[in-house]
Amino acid sequence: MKEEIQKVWSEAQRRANEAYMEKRRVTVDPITRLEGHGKIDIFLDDKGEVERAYFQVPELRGFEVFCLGRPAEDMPQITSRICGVCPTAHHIASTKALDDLYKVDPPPAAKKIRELMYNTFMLEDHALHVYILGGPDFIVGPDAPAEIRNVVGVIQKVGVEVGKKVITMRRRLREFLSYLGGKVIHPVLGLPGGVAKGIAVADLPAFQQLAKDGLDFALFTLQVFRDIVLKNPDYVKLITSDTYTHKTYYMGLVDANNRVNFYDGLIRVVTPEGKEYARFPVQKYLDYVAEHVEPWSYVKFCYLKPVGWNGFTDGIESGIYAVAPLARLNASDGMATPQAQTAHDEFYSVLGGKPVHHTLATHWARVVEMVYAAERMNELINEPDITSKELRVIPTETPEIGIGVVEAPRGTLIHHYETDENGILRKVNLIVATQNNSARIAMSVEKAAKGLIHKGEVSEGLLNKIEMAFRAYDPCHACATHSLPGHMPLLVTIRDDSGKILQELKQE
Amino acid sequence: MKKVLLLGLGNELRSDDAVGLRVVRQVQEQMKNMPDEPVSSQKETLVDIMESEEMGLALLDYITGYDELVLVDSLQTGKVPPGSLHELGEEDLKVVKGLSPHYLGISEVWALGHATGLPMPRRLKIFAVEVKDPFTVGTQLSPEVNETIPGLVFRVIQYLMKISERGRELK
Repeated sequence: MKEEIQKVWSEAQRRANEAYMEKRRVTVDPITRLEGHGKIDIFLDDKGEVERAYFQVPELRGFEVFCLGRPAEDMPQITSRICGVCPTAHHIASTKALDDLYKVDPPPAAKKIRELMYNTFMLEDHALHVYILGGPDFIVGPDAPAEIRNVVGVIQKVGVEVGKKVITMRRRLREFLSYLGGKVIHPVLGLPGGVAKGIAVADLPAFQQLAKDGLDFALFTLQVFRDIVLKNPDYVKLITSDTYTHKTYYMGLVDANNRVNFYDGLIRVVTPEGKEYARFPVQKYLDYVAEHVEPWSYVKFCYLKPVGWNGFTDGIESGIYAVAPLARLNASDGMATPQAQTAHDEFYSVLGGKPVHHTLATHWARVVEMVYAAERMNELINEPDITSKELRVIPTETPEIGIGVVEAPRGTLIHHYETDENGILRKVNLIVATQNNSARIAMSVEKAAKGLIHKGEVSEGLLNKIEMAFRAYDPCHACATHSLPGHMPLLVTIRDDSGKILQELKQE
Repeated sequence: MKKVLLLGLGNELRSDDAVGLRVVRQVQEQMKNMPDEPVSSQKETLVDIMESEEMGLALLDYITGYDELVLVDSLQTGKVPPGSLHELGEEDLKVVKGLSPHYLGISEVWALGHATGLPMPRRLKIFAVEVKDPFTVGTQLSPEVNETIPGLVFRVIQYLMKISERGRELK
């Protein structure tokens, strides 16, 4: 009987959804599979105002099924191969989950090598976003003509020499990742209880130089950001505009002194007022994080369980929280390295103190984190025991449950495995960074649409302004792994409340 | 000496997305058995064959230094049936005007490499298979996509032989 009721209810829901989908929609559909593609449906009411906007992404199917029944030790390889965007983040989160699963504490040098690899990856990945992915919005400019708002436009603005510098630095960082992990894309460094490879004494000077150059590069990037973005009052106005502002909770990993840490620590959550709300080890994440399901999206929307789901609203009553660079800075008391701390202080003094709620400030927070990643690389590569050969503690305990966490470039990343006594997987749960952010991203998209569509009229630059709203988060959904030779155009279809198409906009 | 790179792109664990990798692997196998194969001619390598699961900017590390690039990849336009073959050249690459969240495809990598004066290939050929499902984690290709592999392998070898001939003439 219960099943029947469920069936009837589902059918009714499906029909209601279908009927609703039939009418009143504007579609923004950037169909490129790179790092996942998004689709935005905007529904107008009878006055031509935006009623709701839905941000949809394709689903990565069958992941859990693929993993179950396999040995847990395969997970650092499998998870890093599913997504070509942040292989290192999955690799290290997975390795840490295995430490927990087998109840082993790696030797100090092994932890340092993992953290060194991790910070190298963060610097590389953040640099890619600042210059290449987010760069067109800020370096070229949000209002620049579409045909130059791309990577070539970035190079024209910053100069060919800077372009070469970015490409060279990124290549060198990746070579170091390959040295440690075998391959950038499928690292094989992490093992439960340690790492598979150390750093040879003879190779050390080259990597010390790389860390030094990496810091110069990060500080140079901070200067580029100051010169191009902060000296332009229009950009600053845009960053702080209400369209791109949401007062949510913030989450990030912190060390013992509540300073940002990418590799390890406790998860800290602060309220929209910036007060500490929770501070807990990742093993307790299920006490704090719950997932809300909407019929229109494959993505589950994470929210703070004790606060509760109160719809797509911000404020202290709503359990919606954010992760990623801005959230990490907000959730901490500062940075653990001196030059990053200076950059952090400048960030908050310009933007009016902690916490900063402006989504577009994420780009700047990312640059602050580049400085931290580079400084941390320098600290670690110069540790006296970084060339130690004591790199592994062999697990002896029977496995059961293992949970690991890192701060991925795009935010808090949690791997949770449960196995039988032979280490064969019986349960796999991942909370990926973008999933933590998904509710806030959905709100950002909707707010931008509401600000730009009135009386059925769509303002100039709608596509880019909406995209800017989610590009700042650097969202990475059903992370596709590689580049395709082609692309699909952007399409906006504007319909009135009867479903009639008023206008179609295309970006080829 | 003219150098050609045959590069297969895709993700081994994402169903149809692996098609580019499978094709270049088979090309390599078959060319081993050919008496006058274009991979090495008179002890000089003409064609290097590589696979990559990487994307975007990372591709620059692979392709710089070659004269000619031949890519085998998957593509999803939704406009043609799965298994259809797209053949594209550098003239088909236009720098994308409207950016999507992360758009950094081969066209942008191509433009970026040229804009920064890197030693980029002068010519580009892309073979892309229209795929059905690149979103399910798994190692099985859908039948429509699987069926195109032998024909595409043949087509790629034919193309490599053609450009190798040209290479020898240029020598």
